[in-house]
Amino acid sequence: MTDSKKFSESRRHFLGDCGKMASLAMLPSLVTLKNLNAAVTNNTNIDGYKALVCVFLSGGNDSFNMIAPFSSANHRNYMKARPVLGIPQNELTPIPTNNTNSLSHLGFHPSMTSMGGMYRSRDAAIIANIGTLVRPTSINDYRRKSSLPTGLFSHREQQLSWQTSIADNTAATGWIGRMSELLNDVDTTSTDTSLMFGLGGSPRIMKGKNSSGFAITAAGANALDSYNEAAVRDAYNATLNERYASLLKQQYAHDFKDIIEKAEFYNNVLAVSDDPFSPTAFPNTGLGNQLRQVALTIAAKDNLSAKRQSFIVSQGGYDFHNNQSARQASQLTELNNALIAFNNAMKAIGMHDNVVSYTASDFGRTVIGNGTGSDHGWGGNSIVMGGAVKGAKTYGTYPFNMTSGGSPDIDIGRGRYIPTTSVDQLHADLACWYGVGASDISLIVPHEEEYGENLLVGLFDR
Amino acid sequence: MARKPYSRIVSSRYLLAVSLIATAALHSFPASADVSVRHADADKVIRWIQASHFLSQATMGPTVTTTTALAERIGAIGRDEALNEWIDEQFEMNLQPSLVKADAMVARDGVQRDTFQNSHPTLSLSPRYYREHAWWDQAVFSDAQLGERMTWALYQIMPAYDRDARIGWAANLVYMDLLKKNAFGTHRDLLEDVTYSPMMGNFLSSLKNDKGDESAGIFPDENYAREVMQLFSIGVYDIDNRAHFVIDNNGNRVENYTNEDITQVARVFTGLSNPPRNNRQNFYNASGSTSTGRMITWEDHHHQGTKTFLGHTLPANQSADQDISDALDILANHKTTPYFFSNLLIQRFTTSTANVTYLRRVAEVFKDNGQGVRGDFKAVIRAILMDSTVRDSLKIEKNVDPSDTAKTLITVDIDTEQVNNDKHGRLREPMLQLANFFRFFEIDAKEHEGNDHEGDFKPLWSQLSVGQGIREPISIFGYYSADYLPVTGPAANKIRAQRPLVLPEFELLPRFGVQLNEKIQEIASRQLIVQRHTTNSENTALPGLNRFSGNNSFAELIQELNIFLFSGTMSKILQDELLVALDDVSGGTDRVRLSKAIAVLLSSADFAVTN
Repeated sequence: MTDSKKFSESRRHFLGDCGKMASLAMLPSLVTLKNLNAAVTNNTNIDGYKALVCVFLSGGNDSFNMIAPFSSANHRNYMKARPVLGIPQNELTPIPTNNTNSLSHLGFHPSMTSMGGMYRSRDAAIIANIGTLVRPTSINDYRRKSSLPTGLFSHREQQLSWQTSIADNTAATGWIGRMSELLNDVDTTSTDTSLMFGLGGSPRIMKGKNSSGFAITAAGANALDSYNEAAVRDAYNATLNERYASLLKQQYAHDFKDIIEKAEFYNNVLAVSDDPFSPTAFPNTGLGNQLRQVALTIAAKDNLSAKRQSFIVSQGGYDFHNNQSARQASQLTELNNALIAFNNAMKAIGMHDNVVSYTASDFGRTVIGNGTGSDHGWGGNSIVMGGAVKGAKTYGTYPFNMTSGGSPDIDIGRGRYIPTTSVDQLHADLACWYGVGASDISLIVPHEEEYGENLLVGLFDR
Repeated sequence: MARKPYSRIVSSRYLLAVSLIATAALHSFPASADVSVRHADADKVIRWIQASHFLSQATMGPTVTTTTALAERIGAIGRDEALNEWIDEQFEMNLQPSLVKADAMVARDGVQRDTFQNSHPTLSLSPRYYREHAWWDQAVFSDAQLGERMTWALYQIMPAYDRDARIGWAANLVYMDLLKKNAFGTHRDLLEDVTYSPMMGNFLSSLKNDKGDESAGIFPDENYAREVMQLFSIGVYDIDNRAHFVIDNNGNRVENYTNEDITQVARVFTGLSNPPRNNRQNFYNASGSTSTGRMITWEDHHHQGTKTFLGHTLPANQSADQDISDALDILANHKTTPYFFSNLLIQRFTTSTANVTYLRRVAEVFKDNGQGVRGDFKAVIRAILMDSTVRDSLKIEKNVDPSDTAKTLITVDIDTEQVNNDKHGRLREPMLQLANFFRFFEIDAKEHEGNDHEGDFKPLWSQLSVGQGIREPISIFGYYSADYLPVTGPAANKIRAQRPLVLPEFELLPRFGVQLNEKIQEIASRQLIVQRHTTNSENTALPGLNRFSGNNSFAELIQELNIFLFSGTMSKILQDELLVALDDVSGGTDRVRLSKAIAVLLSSADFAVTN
């Protein structure tokens, strides 16, 4: 047996808890019933109901200001590195990291008025210095350009890498897309087991091999009213069932039909489902309205025949190369108010333990600014929320020493930090919680073996 | 300048054409037919189809008038000669600045532009709508259609907008007009004007970009440096002279530059700010360019060191203008620029995925217009539109109609052998679909001539809102991702590393496909656009729709749309099913039924996709 094989098996053992709820005896027969993309599925399970919500902060959130060093020496270094951008200590909301050592306290941005409380009450956790990686990467790996993500520091490529979890292949499918297809393959009873919803479009995260998410909006799905009229529907169907010589016409007909049929289905289901939320339960903001629609869709899960639901919502406008301070404050206020509203809504409908939300962003930003703004960085900080998450903790390694040269192992210049936790590790952890078995993790996170026994971030009790 | 390309006089010429078509036996087409006409008219109809096909690629939408006029020239001097003649005429036309239009519009509403920024007590509309209206008015009604189409193409490639309205009401239009000015210029001149534009400077934070002080931890802003390379000139990936992406041993594309290149180029674009309004203003608070000016360079704030990037080194202590000029020369003359930028333009005019031989031919013209000029947009546009791959992409055949030997049957479809594959073509983006609709049905902006607003085009914003307003690009990346490919359906997973299939405009379908359809149906059913005005609300008619009434109106509509708007490609099954369906539509006046027909037709693949 080779070392790598041995290593691999010990990891299987380690990951084994991932799928402990599965009924192992039953699954082989399910496998034979399905035309699986995956060759092996021995402990993926779809027990209970679970939902995942990715809150994408588009443009590259300056998350070293969203969650900044608080303790005195660390904060002084931070202010030294960010004389213009830095936030005074007395404006930050202090929170402990893993241990009780007050020297390692972090502070939430003053706009995040609810996050400190949510963190302390264990509804939320932090993942520090997380970002896109192909494999664990040292400063020498970076200098040698060894296995680096495609298009580092570029909005488009980094947004895609967060969504694909295959940082060296921007053409790849999305990690939730792959996961959803796997779960739908495991459940033979329904094609709606695992539903994916893209608020506002069809983002890559929801792209699978043979499927994509429902595109809905904060106001529901865009449905074609006239399609309800039989004669008009016949006419549409005539135009949309045509076999065209042109590939683009074939694709258009396919897409348009898909859109109007899915929208009709979704809106019909939502129309007969309860709205358990008061009009003021969510802030009337872009993100607030999106998360309201997510909450309504979760509340309608039984009518949608869904055991798993995944969502991506987004808030744009984080690319603050200048005039950052006031503008980020207003962005984070919208984020904070939407997240607390969603957390409360999940508690109100008894779904708090079943739903996990996390923030993602293109990249962190340079700690060293450019005047009144900051430039494209790499690692950054994410917030994870939900009853199942072991909250009040900071996972990963926060780069406390932000002085120039203070973090030489990860600082590739101007406080662009090489991530010390990979997006892949977060996704592997979320996938395990969602029901993906140890043997199937590599389908969701193809580079999983690079992380050995450190694959899972450890957000969940298993 | 004629405001509207389809005057009443020309419309009457067109009526002859309709009566000709109305004589066809409309319900007797055999299954394969697209158009059945009298033998004597066959060649004329083919010329209409050829003209419509060209105008759908070169303008904001073909009309009966423009199509018949161009077809006449095709008949007189031959197809390619006529199209080249049309292009020549368009190159000579004056592109009216959108800002002039907007000024006139607000002036007619009793306000001078300089007296307000973002609101004014006597304007009932938020001033930002005038910007959109002025832009749409020009795009839809100007006779200089090739220039308008090119401007729209450039805006999709280099979108800059003032979302927060921090630099003045008119700045968005000043930027649009900068693109207009360069629409028939060169790529290098465009790069320079964009680089010095306060709008772009504000958008990509090169405005007031200081040289920094590395010892104090302040570095030049990298934003513009990155995007000018990634999006406006050389592109992220290396491209070889066969127009293929260069692939490394692991099968991945090779990147064109590193982050170190970007930090070096960032030094180039330091020292840009507004000119001072008075001698008390400095680099940081200068406001002298206002919205109509141009940024200047402040040498004290320009990085004095060397700048080494892409294999070149700019010496230390050059002036800021010299550094910028040298850097733009390097980018404009980079080996991948002709392929990268030609492909962006091809995508906006003719096909989302260019086959490599077509792209190569256009890129060669980009490299040298034949007179030693690189990046000459006139030559590049002509190469894009007149390439045989594009002009012969439709196979137009005529045969004796088997069901009526007195007729000629004309069939039209993508010629998959000629264009070498079935991937040729593009989806009309929402703005273009709506503009096509307005132009074809002659939205009559002059209906109220003599009123104080003289027929200005000021519909409710909701009637134009299909996600492609001036302020609505998602980011500097524009309205859609350049590499988008649908995840399911026939085109999905057609990925090849060297030159993959991409369908950028399809990304908008889930968000705006249905909205667009309903807007068109609503406007058509009311046969009007609701016009907003300072003192009253008025209606703008669609006289192009009023033509269709009485018996056979649906068949006439279908026939006319097929030839003049669909370039003859309307599927027979669509024509037949629609006629059947319209007989069954319940509770409808002719107008309601007509609007439903139009909504179905304009949502069909045959209209949405131009091959």
